[in-house]
Amino acid sequence: MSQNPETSGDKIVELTSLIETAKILNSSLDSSFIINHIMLASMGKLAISRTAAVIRKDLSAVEGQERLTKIEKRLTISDSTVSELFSLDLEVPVEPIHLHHPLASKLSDAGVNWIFSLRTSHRLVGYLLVGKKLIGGSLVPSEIEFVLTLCNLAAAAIENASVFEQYKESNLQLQRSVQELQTLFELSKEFSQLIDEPRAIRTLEFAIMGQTGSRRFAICLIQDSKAHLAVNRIPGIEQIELKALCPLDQALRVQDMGKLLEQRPDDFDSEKVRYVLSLLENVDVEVLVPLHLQGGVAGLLALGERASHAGYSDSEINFLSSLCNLAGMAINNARLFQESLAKQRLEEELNLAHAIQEKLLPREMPEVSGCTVSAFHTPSKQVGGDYFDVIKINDTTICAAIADVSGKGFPAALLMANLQSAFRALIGTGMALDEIMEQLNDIVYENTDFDRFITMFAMAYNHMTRTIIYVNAGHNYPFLFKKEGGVQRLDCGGILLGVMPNTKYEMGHEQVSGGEMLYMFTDGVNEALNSEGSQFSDERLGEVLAQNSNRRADEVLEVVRQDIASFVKDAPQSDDITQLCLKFS
Amino acid sequence: MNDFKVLTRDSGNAVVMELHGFLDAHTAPDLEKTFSDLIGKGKYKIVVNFNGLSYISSAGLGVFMAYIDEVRNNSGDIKLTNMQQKVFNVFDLLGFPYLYEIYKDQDEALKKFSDK
Repeated sequence: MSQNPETSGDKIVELTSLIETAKILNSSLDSSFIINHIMLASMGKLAISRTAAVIRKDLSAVEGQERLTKIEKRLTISDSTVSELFSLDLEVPVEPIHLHHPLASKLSDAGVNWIFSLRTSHRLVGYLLVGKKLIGGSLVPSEIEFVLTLCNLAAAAIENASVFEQYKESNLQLQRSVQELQTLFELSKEFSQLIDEPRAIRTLEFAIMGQTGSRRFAICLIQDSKAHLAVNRIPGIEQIELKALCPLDQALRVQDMGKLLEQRPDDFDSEKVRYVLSLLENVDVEVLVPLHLQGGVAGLLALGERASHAGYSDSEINFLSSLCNLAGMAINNARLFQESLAKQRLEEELNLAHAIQEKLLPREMPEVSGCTVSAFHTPSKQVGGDYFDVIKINDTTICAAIADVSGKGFPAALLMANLQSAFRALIGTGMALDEIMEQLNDIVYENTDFDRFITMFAMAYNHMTRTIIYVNAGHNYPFLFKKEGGVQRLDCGGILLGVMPNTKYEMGHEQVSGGEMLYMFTDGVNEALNSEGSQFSDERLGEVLAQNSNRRADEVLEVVRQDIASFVKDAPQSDDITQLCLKFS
Repeated sequence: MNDFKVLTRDSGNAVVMELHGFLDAHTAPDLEKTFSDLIGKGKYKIVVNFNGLSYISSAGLGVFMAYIDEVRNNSGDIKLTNMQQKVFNVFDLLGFPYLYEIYKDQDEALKKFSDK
């Protein structure tokens, strides 16, 4: 067996260079460096001036896709040629002319002389394309073998690097997920303590900016069916009607919104939404995330482009979605808290008003000769509009009044207070009752709208003359029980106070004698309701009074109270109940 | 509850902001207030020294984002220095080195401001 010493020497040089290359390649985890190295090695060794390489990194574990890297050394290969090459899936080194493929002429024209595939045992990693040798002529078999060996070494090294990159990438993604979870955990804690809406929104802002690195976003919130921009970091977005997008119940990219419109045409005003979307694209909004409040969607986060121009990944969109859910709950809580605070304040004020109103009513009855007075008043839960007063004019004259202001609550209470001060002032002037009533009518008319009015009965008893004078302005007729057994209803007067200006009232006169009784009441008495919805009634009141008209004033009021109580049973009291009784002696 | 403290002092044409303790969603408002006070006084050249900061969360990071535009629009900057490795890792993970100048040492950052 004869051996050419020159060839064997060449082999040794080749072998040494291959071992060296293998060492260098295996110590690198950078696939660009690896491919660059074998390109230079083949160019140097074989005196080739032009090469190009393209490698395909399998990152499917991370991104579900591949990433291509192209390196060109004076040999230009188009991207379409590259993808066609990969679809050919070549195994052995081949010259373009032997490809029997339309690609052949393209590659030849580009200056490719040989195509080498970079393969591991299970996949095609890339291609090395080499041009002609400087001295001309094609590669000889030993040279082809040399380059092939380089390619095999490189393929293994690149695969290694790719696995390492995959590992690095998944590790990074894992760290990001951990960071996202940490943020969500921290914020759920923070949000649960917040009772302040602006603070909750600010915290949401910080979390978005910190986690995604985006400074361009806007948050639109809907309250009482009005939309307002709680945060505006996208110039121009204030002109856009984001409310049209609020039926959105999942986070998505603006570019996917069209698909959603086709799937759910009934949920959106399509035409409007399309218009809004086109405007949003003009201001570079990329992602929309709904905020859920009180069960429904009542807000929207619109995310613009990031400073790095990197798009938002699915996992980031998921994160933002969870974040907005948390923020929505916090905003909801803050609103409920404010509401209950306002309600509490209102209740306190109502209680205060109630107490003040009670103090406007006389607590002790004045003593005058010839008559005893008793009063009974039970306010309903709300501040009501009942008013009564008993005023001693002199030792033998007493004046009493009872009134019912229409409506309930603050307006009625205010009007009642107004009536009380006016009545007291007018009584002090010594004016006649009919004139007082005319004045009161004008005051009430001027101070209120047409739908507010007062029914009022006012009377004065003079023991010297044993006469009652009275004016009834649309009030429930009081009962006057006569000694001989009859009963009279005191109906003389005029219309309700506050309905018509400049009204005249007629004064009624009654003569009384000892043992007779005047009973005044508000409609809380005769209209007291039982649980079946029927009223206590004027008739029943008249009967119980007739049966007890010989009793003391305070006893009469107590008997009526008990009779009402036994009538209504456990039905709630719906109106103020006021009774006033004068017993003449 | 973890504490957070921020101290500021003037240094040449810049302001040094020293952070201490834990910066998270709960303490972020304190830092926010410091930034808005500085900006209110027209101070836009800010060096933030992280030496005393042992923890930062995403919400804490967000505060820096909230002011960077306004600061840069007024020809200032927020430069970050002296980060502990753990804190830097969070910045790095969330891609912040792309958005901010981060220096090993406070004086380096101050020099950048005085060179201009």
